[in-house]
Amino acid sequence: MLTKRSARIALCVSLSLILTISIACGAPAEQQPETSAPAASQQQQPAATAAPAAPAAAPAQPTATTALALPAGMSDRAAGGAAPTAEPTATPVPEPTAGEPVQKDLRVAITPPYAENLLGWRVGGTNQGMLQPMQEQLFQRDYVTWEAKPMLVTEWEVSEDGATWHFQLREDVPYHHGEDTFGVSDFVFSLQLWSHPEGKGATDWFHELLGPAGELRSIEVDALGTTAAVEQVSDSEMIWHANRPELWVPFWFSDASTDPLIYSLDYWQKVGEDEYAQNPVGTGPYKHVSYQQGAKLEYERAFEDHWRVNPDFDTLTFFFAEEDLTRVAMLRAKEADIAEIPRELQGEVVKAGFQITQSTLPAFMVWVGIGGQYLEDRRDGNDPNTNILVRRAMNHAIDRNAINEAFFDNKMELMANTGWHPTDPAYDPAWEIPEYNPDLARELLQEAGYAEGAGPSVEFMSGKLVGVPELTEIAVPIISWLEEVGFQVDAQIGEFQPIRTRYKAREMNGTLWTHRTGFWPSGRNVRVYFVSPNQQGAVYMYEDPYVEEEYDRWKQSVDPQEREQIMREVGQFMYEKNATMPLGFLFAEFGINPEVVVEYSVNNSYFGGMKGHEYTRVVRK
Amino acid sequence: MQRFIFLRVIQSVLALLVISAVVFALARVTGDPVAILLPEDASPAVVEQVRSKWGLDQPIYVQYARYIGNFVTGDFGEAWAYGGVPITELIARRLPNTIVLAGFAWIISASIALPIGVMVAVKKDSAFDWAGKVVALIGQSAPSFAIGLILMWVFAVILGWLPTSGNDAGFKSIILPGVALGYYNVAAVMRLTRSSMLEVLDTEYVKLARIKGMPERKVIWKHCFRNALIVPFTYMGLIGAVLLTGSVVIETVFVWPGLGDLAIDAIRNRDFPVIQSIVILFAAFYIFINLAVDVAYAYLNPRIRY
Repeated sequence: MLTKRSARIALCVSLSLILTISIACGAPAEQQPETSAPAASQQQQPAATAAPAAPAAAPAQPTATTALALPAGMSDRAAGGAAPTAEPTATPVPEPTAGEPVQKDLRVAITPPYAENLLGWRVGGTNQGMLQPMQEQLFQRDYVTWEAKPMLVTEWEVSEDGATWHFQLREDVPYHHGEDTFGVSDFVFSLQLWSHPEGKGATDWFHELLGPAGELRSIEVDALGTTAAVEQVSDSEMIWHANRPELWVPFWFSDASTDPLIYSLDYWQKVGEDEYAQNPVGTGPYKHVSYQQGAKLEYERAFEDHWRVNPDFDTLTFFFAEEDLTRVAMLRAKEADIAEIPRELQGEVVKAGFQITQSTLPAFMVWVGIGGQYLEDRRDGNDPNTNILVRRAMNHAIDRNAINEAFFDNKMELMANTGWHPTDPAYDPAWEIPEYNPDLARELLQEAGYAEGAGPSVEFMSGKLVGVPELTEIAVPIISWLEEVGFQVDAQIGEFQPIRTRYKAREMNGTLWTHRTGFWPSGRNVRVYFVSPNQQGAVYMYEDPYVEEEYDRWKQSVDPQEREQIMREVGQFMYEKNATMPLGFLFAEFGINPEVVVEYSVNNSYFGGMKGHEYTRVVRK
Repeated sequence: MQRFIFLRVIQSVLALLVISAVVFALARVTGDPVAILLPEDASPAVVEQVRSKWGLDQPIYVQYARYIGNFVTGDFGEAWAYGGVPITELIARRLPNTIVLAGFAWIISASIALPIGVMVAVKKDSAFDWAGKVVALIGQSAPSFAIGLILMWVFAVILGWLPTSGNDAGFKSIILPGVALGYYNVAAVMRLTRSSMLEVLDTEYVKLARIKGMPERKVIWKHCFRNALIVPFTYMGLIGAVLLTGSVVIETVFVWPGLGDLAIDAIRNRDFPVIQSIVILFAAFYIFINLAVDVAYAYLNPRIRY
């Protein structure tokens, strides 16, 4: 008897499993993402979103980006440093809306940050985005215009020489622990943390600015919260004597750069570093509730009436899901209201009734680096990459429109000159996107001395990077186009790490590689990508004595017009030299559940998935 | 027996040492962790500072000797990518989740595979037997992450019965990752049980029991099953370790905050000390369970002598 019963049970279990597999195997066909690009209407943002429309579907031209508001924050003037006295504008506060929210919890599924630690200064920028709902900064960037706006400062003034900054801090801003309000000592303490030797943010940069008391680099010293570099006028007013001119303080100290979060000195002294790491506090609209490493981070509304914004949602939870399909499943199962959805899966979520929203400004810049263009010490005269005719041939060999259509649904804004966006004041509208012209590419190679079909031998490397997983995919047609005009390409597609190791060592002679970075002003791009170690470059991609000199002049100058002119001239030089193979600008894109979220004003940063959630608008009954 | 245990322990320690050296070397072949840990525009001075702090400026044999020296005293070092959090703390936080998941998957494997294995042996060449083979084939041929995603899609997205991921919905949270992880082993255990049962069913004492009129249920479950259990039991012991170490992908797919998920994060960040600690820990589990199974096997089967 028992045998028969067992047999029946076993049979049921087997049939269930088979049924499960059968159903499941059928599901993907039904849920397959569309092979064609989602309809334009499906790609639109929620009606209430103030964000500009995506770039035109047709081959993007520099002039086609007029829908984008001018990110005036790229200029010195709006960065707050050009005028001796900046006039702060009002902080954007969402208008109150009526009706009960359909949901009190906002759940966001994102890829995990590179490094998880609730003390952001210890792990640097990539992690700190997830702390921004809780901790504030001195400035914030407008999500559409990118202008510097006051956050924890209300007024600021910079001296003629650009080295002395006078700040009026916001008064009576309480921390979450309820026993302290923000003041000058908190700013100085935070500055000490950011420049701490164990910090992994822009440590050196902050240390450089700290001024005469720059040796104060340890949190173990007694003088926490004070430094000779900062003259405290009152608890809410200070004069900071930086040890060199720096006009972009409002940019670097804003949420755009993620690093400089404000910490409470009082709380630190009361509870110590370990407890601060377990239960961090800040002045933001959300306060920390719990954290499960590798899984989720929970916040709840901190104040009934926050000085800056009262979020629509009572709680905010980040779920860290590495797998793309898991995030898609979370959105579709309505376990997440906002989720990072890779471009190839967006059609599927749109088909299921969800929406795709995109960042208000581009989040990424994508291009192909042409290695080997170093200063004399690393330059190889036999490297074909050092020949401008070869570089021009490379630029005309590839079809950017085809890449845009095949991999980015025409949502990439094509780029004429790597590092200069059309909204950058130093951009020149005369710059043109290199035309796809394989015949011209062949001619240029012949002019460079290569016989037809026997072009130069180059190595092409490509590896995946967060935010633009298509980097490895776009490498395939690019290699094919290069070979078509005669290049002999040795392709290496895999991890990005070997590429990073080589460009850091300035060993990219004869090598091309796909690269992406965030959306930055040209001044920063030149500093990171187009100068040598002598000028504290970082990604050694292009070096030339002229650019070195110009960049040095730009750094020393405190005349905004002169600085803008220098950047334009550097841009012109890079453009004429065909220094890189520019591809385009990409926006950060997210899936949202329109039954819960009316508007998600994603900012431009590629940490956008973690930021700006206090401004997310809920659907109301 | 004592000599056998002593030799096996020595072998285990040697195996662990070899594994630690291999992992230590391989992790470093993958590239420079500082390039990932620091922002792209970090200055050479900061790079050198970080390299020195984590001892990466030392020769590799010094790094290894220092690591092993600390490891044997229970100091696994600090996690670079997590801002210097002690690795023991990270592991202590994650290990219980992995043990719970692996334990549940083990129960799933055993509770499905053993009864089906017995039944398909008893009903040899019947439709039931064929159905069992199909189940086994699917289990062995489909990767666990694929099974996991299919289960997630069906039971979480389409039916909405279970959560897609995470571990905060109580028992419901563990069902999908547990089944996905355990299912792969169902097939193997079921097939082992079946073949072992067929062998036992054909023995003289089973025939005698049936001739004497013993109830079939008693013949199968008391006499046959017990004797047929040795082979699947050995394997079940081994898959305990396999489930612990094999949870890496499933934990990532289901956002299960265990050691596997931590391992993936550590690999992504080239956090060498964390990678080494987890791999050595996994290896130690595996070796220990192997050892335990060998010893238990020797005790269970008096015919086995060393």
